[in-house]
Amino acid sequence: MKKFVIIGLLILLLVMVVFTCLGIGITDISYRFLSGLIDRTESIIIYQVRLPRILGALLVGLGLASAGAVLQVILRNNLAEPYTLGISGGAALGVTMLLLVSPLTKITFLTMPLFGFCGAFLSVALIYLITSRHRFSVESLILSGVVISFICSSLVLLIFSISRPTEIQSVLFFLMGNFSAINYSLLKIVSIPIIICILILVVLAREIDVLSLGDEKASHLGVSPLFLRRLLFLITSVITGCCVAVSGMVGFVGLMMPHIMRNIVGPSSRLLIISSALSGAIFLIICDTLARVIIAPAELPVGVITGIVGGIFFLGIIIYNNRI
Amino acid sequence: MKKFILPIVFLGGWWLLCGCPQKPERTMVGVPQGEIISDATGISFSLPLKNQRIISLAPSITENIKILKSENYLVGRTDFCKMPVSISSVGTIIDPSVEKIITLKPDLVFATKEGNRPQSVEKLRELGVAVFVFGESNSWVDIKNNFLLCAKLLGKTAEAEIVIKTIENELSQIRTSPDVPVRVLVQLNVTPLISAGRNTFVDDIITYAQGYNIASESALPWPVLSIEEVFRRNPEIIIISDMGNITAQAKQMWLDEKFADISAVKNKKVYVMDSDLLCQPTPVHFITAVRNLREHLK
Repeated sequence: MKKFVIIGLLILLLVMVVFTCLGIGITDISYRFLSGLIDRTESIIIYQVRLPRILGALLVGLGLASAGAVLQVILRNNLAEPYTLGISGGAALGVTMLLLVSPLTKITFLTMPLFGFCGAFLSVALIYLITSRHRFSVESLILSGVVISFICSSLVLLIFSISRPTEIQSVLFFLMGNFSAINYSLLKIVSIPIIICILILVVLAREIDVLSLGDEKASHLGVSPLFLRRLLFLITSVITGCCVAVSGMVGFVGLMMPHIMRNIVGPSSRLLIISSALSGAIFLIICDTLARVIIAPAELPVGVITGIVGGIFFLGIIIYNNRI
Repeated sequence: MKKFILPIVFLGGWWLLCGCPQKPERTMVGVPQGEIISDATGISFSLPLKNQRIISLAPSITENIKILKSENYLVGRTDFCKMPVSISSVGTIIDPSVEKIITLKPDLVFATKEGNRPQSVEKLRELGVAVFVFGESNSWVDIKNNFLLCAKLLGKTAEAEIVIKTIENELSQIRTSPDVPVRVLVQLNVTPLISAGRNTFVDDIITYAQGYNIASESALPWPVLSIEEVFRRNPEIIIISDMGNITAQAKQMWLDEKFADISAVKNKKVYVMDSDLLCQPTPVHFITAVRNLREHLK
């Protein structure tokens, strides 16, 4: 019963946050859009500028937080997050590669997300190959992820150091995470894989619970730890790759939300995944709205806001909660 | 005992390596006669300076040298300076090769406060190279002063004053034409949309051309402008700084149907401007940019 109350409350809160944030911005429209009394420009601002951003933040928040929740369980590490496995490093390298090939390609709005996704995909493939030699053990996943991240970030810096300063800007903003370049066609492409993958995670929740007991017990209970870990690694990678393609690197959401939610709802995976996802979406929408208005008419990268707000909030929890 | 030999040899060698090159005295080139001027880092230089071999670490300074017809003094430049390849490059603006600079045996190195890193300047000074750092170019006055300063160091003050006088005449002519300011958006990047705030020479270009910079409300020099702000301010002219391949993407961006009602898009007043004019602050680039923009505004 408690389950449904929590999820119901979170959904209600999410809906409220979506509508509240639609009304916030530098143009004074406030809540007239609810009654439909807006002119053409105002309706463009609401439906073409603010709404896609809010939907993007919602999607990325859902994705990163649910992937984080699952990874913390399967890696048995509370510091695990979607970027632990080297995916962010690969995506960053992919986007930075754009600086090298940019004279050769025709750049459209899909180019950067595509390069990011390809980079993420390659690093995942590499980690998959390395860890498959070690039966997808937790240690090999974390180690190879961290090492791949290091290599990628060094290569990123290498490319930066030989590029024209003015060209670096776009990539730098991508690395800081922002939703300003979002549009409906990009959202359509990535929303399907993200939502399907989250649903699979929810369906697999019972098996994830069993896996958290340890490999031996899991095998006794009829779950193949090797197969399951491989599957979950791939699913969370698809989610993270798509999220990175939409927004660049938005940190802290995937680490913080599962943490907070575990304290509220307990360790049951299904409830944890759903509640983390919803709270991640709420948190990211609020952060992106802050990024839009804090130094208006200029904008901040949302990754900076999630880092600061999330970090301080998280520190508070660590200091005042004796259970951690 | 044996196992200590290697560390001792290593440490000794390290000590020798670090200790050997005596830190050279900071030499001030030039004879202490006449005027003393200080650069943007507060180092004083006394005129006249020895200036037969010059390295420029900033494209804008290289351009200034070209305007003053002193290219023959130039022995080094960056990868981004538009110069014949006969003058060798010392690398990028952010990370020029100290080794290459030293081998070129410059009398004087020109750097800028905004473009070059203080670490590069400090390193060169430690090695006894005279580095003159020019201040930021945030307005027409800054551009003018930096140009005159450069001319003074090259001993070309008279020529420089003629250049400035001609340009200021033209500027005052353009300025007197009585017009209502036209709302202008200067676009320096696509994703994210970066423009120029009020404390920049780009803002001055717009103002001198009788325009109103829609990003001038931002106190940041190069703000990431919110798309919403573009709708709110409804620019009548959009100037895209030519970013090579990305320029096509920038033009494409404004064709999106959501921008159809923006005045500049509706009246087909989206133009591309040479990025050098908007990125390399020199008097000639400044007046060219003002002139170009003025043409579009008419």
